Amino acid sequence: MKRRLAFWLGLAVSAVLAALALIGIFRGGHSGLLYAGINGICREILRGSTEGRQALVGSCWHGPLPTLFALPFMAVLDGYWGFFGCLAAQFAALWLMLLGVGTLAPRNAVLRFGLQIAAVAAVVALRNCVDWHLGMSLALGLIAVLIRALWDWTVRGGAKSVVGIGFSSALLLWCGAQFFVPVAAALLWMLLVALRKCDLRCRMQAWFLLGCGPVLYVLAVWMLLNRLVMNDWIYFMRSYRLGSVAEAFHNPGNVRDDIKTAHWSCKCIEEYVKAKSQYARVFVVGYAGLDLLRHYGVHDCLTPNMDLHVGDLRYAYKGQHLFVLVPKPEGIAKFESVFWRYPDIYTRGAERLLLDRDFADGWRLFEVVAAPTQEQLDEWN
Amino acid sequence: MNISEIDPLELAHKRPDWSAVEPLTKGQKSGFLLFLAALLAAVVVAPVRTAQILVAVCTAVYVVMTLYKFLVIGKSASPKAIMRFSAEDIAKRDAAGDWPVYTILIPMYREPETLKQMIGALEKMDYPADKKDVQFLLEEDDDLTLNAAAQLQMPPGFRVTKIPESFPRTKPKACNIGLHLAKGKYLVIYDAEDLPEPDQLKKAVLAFEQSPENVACVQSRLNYYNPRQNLLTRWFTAEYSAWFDLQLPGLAALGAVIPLGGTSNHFKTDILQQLMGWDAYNVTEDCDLGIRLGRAGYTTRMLETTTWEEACSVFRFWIKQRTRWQKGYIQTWFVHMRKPFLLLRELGLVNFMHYQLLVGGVTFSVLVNPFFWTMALGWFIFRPEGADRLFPGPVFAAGAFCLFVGNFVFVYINLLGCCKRKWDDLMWASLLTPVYWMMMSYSGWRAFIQFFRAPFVWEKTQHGLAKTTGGAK
Repeated sequence: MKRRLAFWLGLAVSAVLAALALIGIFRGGHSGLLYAGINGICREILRGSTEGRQALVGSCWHGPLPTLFALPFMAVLDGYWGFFGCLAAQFAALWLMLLGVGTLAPRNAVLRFGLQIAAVAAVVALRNCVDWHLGMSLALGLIAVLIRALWDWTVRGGAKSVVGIGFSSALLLWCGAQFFVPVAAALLWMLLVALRKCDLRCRMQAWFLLGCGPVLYVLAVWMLLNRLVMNDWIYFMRSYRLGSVAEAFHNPGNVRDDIKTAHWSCKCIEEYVKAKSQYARVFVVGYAGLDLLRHYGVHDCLTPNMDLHVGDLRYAYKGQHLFVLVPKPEGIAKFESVFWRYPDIYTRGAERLLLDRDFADGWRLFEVVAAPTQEQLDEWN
Repeated sequence: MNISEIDPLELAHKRPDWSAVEPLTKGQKSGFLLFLAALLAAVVVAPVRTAQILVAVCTAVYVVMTLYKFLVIGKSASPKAIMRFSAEDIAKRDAAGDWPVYTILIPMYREPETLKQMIGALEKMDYPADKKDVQFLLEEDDDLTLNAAAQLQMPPGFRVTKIPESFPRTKPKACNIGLHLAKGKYLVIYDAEDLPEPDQLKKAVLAFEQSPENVACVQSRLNYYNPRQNLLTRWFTAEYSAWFDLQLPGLAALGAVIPLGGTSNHFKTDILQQLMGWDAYNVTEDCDLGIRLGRAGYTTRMLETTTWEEACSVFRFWIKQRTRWQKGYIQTWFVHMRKPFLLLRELGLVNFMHYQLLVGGVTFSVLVNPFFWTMALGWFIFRPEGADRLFPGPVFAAGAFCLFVGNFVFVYINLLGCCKRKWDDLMWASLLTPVYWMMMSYSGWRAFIQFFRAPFVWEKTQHGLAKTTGGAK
């Protein structure tokens, strides 16, 4: 009964705190950025677009876990209600985790509320650090669980603590790459404790697999998804430095040569197609395309395209002058899915794709043309 | 009682609606055909929409199954999950008075080599010799085992019961005859190659005595004494450790219906007789009986004691054994779903859902898995045109959750099972569990086809292949 009361009370308080956090964020003048950001990301994920997948796994704004956490709320509830629901659920999750942590968290309900309020304060205070916003409460709760599990492990040992360490660390890491160091430290501590105690030392491989397994798995999945979606195994780790891309452009002295080259190529392509038509759009194919565009920033004219279904493109972008930019099938680029579908595309083009011209680094531009009329076919024949 | 007077098919004769004697009723057959026809029509009329709905439904099942596993494993840590008795508890009960007569049934077929080992193990069991009622259930035409039994000096209380030749030739049919001839207040079944822990019978008695009246069955944990024989036995052991040490205790803590494990289930004999014993037509009669106990208002508890068995070490035999188990699950699901609303009323909503997930959901996943693996692989490698249309945003997100979280959780559960048994050296093999799942899917489809073509065929498990029994602790 007491537990049930605590649960419902926690939910009610979470709703109030979410409202307060929302007001704090609005007053700080960051509502547009934060709300529009998460709303856009969720909308793209739900659309199943490449951009959505990129934002989920390679985002330098939010880790995958906070984004996934927000997803159902933004999908089911309209506009700001979704945002409010997401914040409230995060505070509720924090409350539940504090309840679960038990002895480590203060038993006194007032102190628990105090912790929650501290979380709100942290969210509001850190509103200027965009990448900390969304997962703050989740991360705080997970840190509490991790500390509790580490405490139990140090004092008592046992598989339950290791499972707690493993899962809370893994989830914490998915709250953002900035937690990599504290997670690594927690795992190191766990292994050191095991090494120091005789009864634990003889089962090191069990503790390693149960404790480090979830973290290594999460890391591996994250890297794999980054490779698949961003064409870079550790994009999520780099994203802080590259993000930053804007900063780099403001300070050209620090820009790496490849970034400069990519930026230059993109600019050339854009100028070239814009000269042909005001309504030109270039689909840059495959993971290599993502790599190229990564350094160029968002632009209407150049669009990443993973699948290259020419018919679908023409249907979706009626009335526009469409081009396709294909990488040279060399090195890792030869494994692009476009070459599975059109093995000769680079050398011979494909149906409705006519060679236009070559650009630097082997990029080749094709123009998407309408299906030939019977008269044209007769003329060619 | 004369054996010829016993009807081993009593359940099928008196309650055919509870028996798999008719694998599919006419209504089920019609429903099944209607469903296939509707599916075919939908594929013809709106292929993309139909595929989207099928993918969405399967993904929803996967999500529910993953969350369900979380819940069950979480509950396995509860003190209610498993009944524990110490040596002191047994000593106190020893001092308190007589132990009741305990019937032990050992159905065997063409396993003369295991007879001596079994007698030895039963003699070693810490239970008064005069209270043991041991029956070796041997088929009339099994000269090999009958001759081996005749050459052995049977201890007092041990006897051979000859099972008359008749259709179907199944283990539950033999057990039904044994049940009718049972003298004990409690009854347990062991397989021929089993090595139960010596104090198991006493612990089971204590469990019954300290449980409410409606506890009709106590399930011991099963595990293998040859886990390190090869990779297959390693996987099999990890799976069994997770099932008997984590999942079944979790289910018991939730008060769920429990699909009983093959052997070492201890019963109150009178209740088992009221329920007319096992269904002789069901090839996983234990799973079916667990559900029938639930329908009759009884419950099952888990007991902390282990019976050591032989893990099947040969791929061919493993496939046959698993095919039988999965076919039995399919049989059981169809038997109890003949009248779903009656089942819902008898089990209650929560247990009804447990039943659907445990018996139906597991089989469903095993059958559907290959399609999703192929789709995932195809998507990663070929990115076929239109594939993304099958996975609209929310379905894609749920599917990704199942792929990356669900599969990991299932592997992790096996790791935990090994850790709990302190079989740390088997944990690395558990990381390769996905290969084991592929084998399960193969046998699952074999079972599904066999369910329609040969529902009563009993693909017997080959025993005596273990190189050691040293794994038993």
